[in-house]
Amino acid sequence: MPDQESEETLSPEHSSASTSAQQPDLADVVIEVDDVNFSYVKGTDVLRDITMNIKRGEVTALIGPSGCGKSTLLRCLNRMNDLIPTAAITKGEIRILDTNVYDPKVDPIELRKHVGMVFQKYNPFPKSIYENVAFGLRIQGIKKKSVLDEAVERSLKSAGLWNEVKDRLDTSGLGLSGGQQQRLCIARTIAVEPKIVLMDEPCSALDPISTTIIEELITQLKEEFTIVIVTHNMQQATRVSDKTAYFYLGELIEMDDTIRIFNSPSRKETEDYISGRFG
Amino acid sequence: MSHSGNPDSPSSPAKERLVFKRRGVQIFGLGWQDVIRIFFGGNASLAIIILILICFFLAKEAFLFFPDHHRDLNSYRQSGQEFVGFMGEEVTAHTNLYSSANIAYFAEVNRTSRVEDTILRSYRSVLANVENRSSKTWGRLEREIDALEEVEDDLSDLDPETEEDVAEIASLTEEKRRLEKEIPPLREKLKREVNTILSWDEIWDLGVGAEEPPADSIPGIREAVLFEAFPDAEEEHPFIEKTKQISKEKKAAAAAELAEFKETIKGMQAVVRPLKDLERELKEPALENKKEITSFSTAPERRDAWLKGAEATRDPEEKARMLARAEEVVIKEPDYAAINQVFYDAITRHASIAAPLEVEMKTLFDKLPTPAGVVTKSAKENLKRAGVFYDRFQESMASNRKKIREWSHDHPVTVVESVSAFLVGKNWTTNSSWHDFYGLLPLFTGSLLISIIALTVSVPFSIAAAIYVNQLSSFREQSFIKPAIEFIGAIPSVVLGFFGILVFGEALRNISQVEWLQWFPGFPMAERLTILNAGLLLAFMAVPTIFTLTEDALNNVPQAFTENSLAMGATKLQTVFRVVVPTAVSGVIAAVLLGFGRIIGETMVVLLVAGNKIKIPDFTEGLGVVTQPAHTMTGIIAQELGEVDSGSLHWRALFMVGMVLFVISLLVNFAAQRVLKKFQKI
Amino acid sequence: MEVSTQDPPLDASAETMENPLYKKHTAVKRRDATISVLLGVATYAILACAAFIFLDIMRKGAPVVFESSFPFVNTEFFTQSPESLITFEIEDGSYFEMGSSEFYEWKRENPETRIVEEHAHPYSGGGILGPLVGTALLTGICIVVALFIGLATAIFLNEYSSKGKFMDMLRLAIMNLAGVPSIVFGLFGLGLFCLVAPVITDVPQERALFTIPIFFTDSYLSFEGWGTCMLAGGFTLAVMILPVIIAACEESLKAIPMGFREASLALGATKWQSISKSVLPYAFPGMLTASILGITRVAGETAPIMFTAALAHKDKLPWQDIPVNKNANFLAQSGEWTSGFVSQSVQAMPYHIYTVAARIPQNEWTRPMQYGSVFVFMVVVMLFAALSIFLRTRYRKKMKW
Repeated sequence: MPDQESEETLSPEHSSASTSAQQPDLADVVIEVDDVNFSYVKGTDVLRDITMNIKRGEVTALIGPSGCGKSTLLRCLNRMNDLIPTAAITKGEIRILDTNVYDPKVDPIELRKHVGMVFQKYNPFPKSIYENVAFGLRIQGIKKKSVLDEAVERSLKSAGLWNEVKDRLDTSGLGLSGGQQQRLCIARTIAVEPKIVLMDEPCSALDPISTTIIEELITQLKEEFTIVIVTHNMQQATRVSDKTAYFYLGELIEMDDTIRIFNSPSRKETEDYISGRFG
Repeated sequence: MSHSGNPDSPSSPAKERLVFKRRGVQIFGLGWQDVIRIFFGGNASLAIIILILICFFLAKEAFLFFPDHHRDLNSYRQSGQEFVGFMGEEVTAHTNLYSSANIAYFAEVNRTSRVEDTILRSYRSVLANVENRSSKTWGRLEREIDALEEVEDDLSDLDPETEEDVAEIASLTEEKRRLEKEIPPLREKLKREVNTILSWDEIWDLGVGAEEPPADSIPGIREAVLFEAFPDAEEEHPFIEKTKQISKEKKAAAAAELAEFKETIKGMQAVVRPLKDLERELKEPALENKKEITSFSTAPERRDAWLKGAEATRDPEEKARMLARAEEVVIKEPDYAAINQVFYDAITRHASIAAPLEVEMKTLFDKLPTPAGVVTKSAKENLKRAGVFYDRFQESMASNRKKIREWSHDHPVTVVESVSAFLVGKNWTTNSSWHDFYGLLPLFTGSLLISIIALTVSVPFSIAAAIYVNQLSSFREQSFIKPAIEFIGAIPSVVLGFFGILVFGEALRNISQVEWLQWFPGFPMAERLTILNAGLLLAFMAVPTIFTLTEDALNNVPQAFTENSLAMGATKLQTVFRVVVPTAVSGVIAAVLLGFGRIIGETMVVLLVAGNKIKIPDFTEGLGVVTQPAHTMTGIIAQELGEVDSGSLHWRALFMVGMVLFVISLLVNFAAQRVLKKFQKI
Repeated sequence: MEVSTQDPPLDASAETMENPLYKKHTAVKRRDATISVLLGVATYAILACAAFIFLDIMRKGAPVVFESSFPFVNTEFFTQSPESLITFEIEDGSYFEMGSSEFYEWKRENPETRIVEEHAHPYSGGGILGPLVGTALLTGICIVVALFIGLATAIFLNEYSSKGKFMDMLRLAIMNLAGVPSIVFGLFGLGLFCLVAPVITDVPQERALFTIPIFFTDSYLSFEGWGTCMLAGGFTLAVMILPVIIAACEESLKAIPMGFREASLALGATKWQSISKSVLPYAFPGMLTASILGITRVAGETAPIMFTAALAHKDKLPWQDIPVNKNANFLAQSGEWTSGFVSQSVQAMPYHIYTVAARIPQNEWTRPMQYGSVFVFMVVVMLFAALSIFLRTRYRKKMKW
């Protein structure tokens, strides 16, 4: 577990907002990242002075070249970085639903029930499709068949997979195609009804057709969930996201409405990147 | 990585046409590289050659076993030994029943005098301990007393009147005086020593499982030991005498109460006597027959040996002698019908004995008290077993009646009979004056029981440890637990066996005496070297194998599965038990299988601590069977192979056992690989 | 969307708690904690057993091996071979304990003294020099043979062989060989090396499987076996350890990145050059570890040498008194000496321990020899094991390319 005492000393009122474009209506904000520094190994910060707010019901895309820290930030949000023993937030606070998630009182397990995650490489468990989707409910101790059935059906429907798999729910999840497997993973994530869904390059391992399906799915899902998606496909960012944040070398360069970022970025670095001059 | 000075490096541009041509020495059209390649390939095929050779050498000896064994079984039948063996079975079945009943009876009788017997037993134990500890002074005193006696003897033999004896008498008298002076202080010294020794606690350690004598008897025992602990003490201390008397009286009283029980047992003993006599009577001609048959079957061999010897020798006299000996060897086939006539004659006699025996045994068995009708635990258990043995006795009588009626000496032994006599034979008897049996079952059961115990203990521990180390422990813990467990794998098995004999066996027996563990089947244990002991040690030995392979399997579970599960809000352990372990399950199964292979093939531990009793463990004890000694397939090879002639039937039987082990290990390995392959597909 | 509707309906306790993300003490977590503790206890129980065995042997064995005064080590224990221990008392009550050779010496010097109580305890006196030397020799022969064949096989499998049915079979054969019980290897060694392996001799024995006359000499190549001897034992052990060595060598070869070979070949090196110059040197540490691991396993094995090499009692050390024809030339003499040397049985530590543990009457006089031998043997084997584990850890840390 990382050392969580240090950020206690920082005042919660602290705000910099140097790069954030506009101050959103605070009532709608579900994720507040407040002047965060993060390091995997002590002494070398891979995220520096990140401050951003993410509003409810929006899709936020994190873009930037490889190694810019966008995935790291994503993993900070549901504390997946806790798995690395030396990794820790060294400055600042991340507040989700008005709770500092690095507060020692916060249980990462409870947190992750509310902040779901979909990974780059689709990886259903070597179990049946049904069991894959029911997994999250089962670990919460729900055994009642009717509840599980209902949840599985609802999630698979939300993930747009129901019609394809409803006749073979008890076959292995590994037998599906890549795109189906990724949608299965999404269904598995939303089955526990999280408030926020984090997606770490969910389409990078998929063919274009599957990618399109998933992208459509994302736009549907935002009705229900707040979505943060990491992508290095800028077209994808324009297609699915409402807000875009551009990261470079561990810093948040710019964050704004997607349309504005791609049409008239306020920073030179952003423009260089989206116009393909590097990256 | 360029080698400028090497002749194989690209040549100068002047000879450009030759650049892509092969160069170097050519042997039979093979380049140097090909030779190297063939050298390595040849070595690699050695592995296959070795495997083939192993199969060949095991198979050669092992499969020659079957014809030999077949012949041996035939001679067993032709000599009539088989016929007598049936009666032997009946007698054994009866003896099992009788001795259980007998033990039950004595347990009942002795229960009344338990306190006294305990006192007497502790007294004897303490006395022996004291004598042992004071052996130096004791020995000296003993020698002096002996010397004194001798001197006195000599003195009485000598005649003071005769002149030549006078000097002798003088010196002897001197000696006597010296001894008489020396003995009392020695006696005092010994007494002091005994007194000191008695104050040591370990003297009162009565050994394993012994009951403590009541506190009020301790001074009496002490007193008696002090009184008795001299080489020349003759009568017993009154306390001991009194205790003995009481014990005797109590036993007599109890026996009087159980008179009917006693009568029943006596009746059982008496009623089987005619059958026993018949068996003993028939054994003699059977052995004679066997001798004759063996002599016949080995005759050509012996003659050949003489002839060969004659051929080799150069001395004509010796040659003639040897040829004469060769001539002497008679090859005469015995008249099987004639030599077996005595057994056919005995059939009716056996029938006339067996029928009343069965009837009488039934009435006698019904007269035995029921397990509920007796008091002590031992009696209850033994009467229960007597019930089982009675059923077996009946079965044995019934099946043998048919066998005896239909028995025929010239009925050839079938292949099935001969093979099953090995594979499921219940008897492994060698170097017997009667007949050697090579039945695998006692050894196989022993091996299997030990393996089962080892696996039941080892698997949970190893898997738990693997899960803990792989999933829960900190990096620090990992870095010492893993090498430590590998260390266990490096402990030589003979060291573990040694530990089992000297330390663990005793400790286990002590544990088995503990009051609150008596629910465990088979406790308290009488033996030190048992199936349980061997099983537990092997469990310890199998830990590194199962642990390492399981840990590997867990390690191979993709990190993504863990991450996914954690990202869904599963706790660490939910992730482990719902995702990681199920994914790795075939790896775990393979680990267990290979652990089993390791256990069943282990030799030294079982040879040292399994007790080496060649008998199918007595399953009437239920789970308590694990506290019995047993022998194993590996153990029997190690124990007996050194002492048999190469090429004999016994030798081949041992190779056959090796063959069985080999096949088992191949099957286990094969199964493990199949399971693993399935795992790799994920 | 309202906050309350988005709260997970399953989280019944959420209302009573101040915050849904805060830690909760649920039954699942309590169960998890219990199971974690249980798993940890099981792990440490295993370690505790190991520690107990080790400490027990150390506690009882160390006093035999070490002494409180200079040179702090019981030198006799390491410079003598096992013999009987004689305990006796003489007339005046004084008591003696000595090895049998010393005892006969003593008797010769004191022919007058009457011995009153004399007991002989077989194998309990003297030291363990013979078994130590024997084990070292057996292990040495085994490792040389096994490494030679094993390394070659591994190189072939990993560098030369192409994929195919035959290779699969070969691998399967090797893997299966690894699971065969050691006693079966003992049987095999007895059948092959002791009774059938070829020797060159002038007078072939009758039991020989077959004999081939060698041209231009009087000798024959007789397949009569080497008899019970250290060569047979060493070869048997080598066959037993072969799969382990092959697997380990192959693994360390596999760990060398393909790029090393390709880079070397691309520079125009031949196959063998690229293997010898840019693969083997990097695989060497791994192979070293494998062979040390092999030593630990082989040194501890009893069953395979029981009938092929080991002997409970032997007066002389293996290099003493080997008959040599003094008139022959040096080459012939050394050849004769070598064959005489390797064709004798030896004592071996594991067999010696087996003997003192199970084949002699047990009493308090046999204890020092038993625990002393076990202690020394265990420490030696453990040192080798530790060395191999240490080397491997270091090697793995370094091997990052």
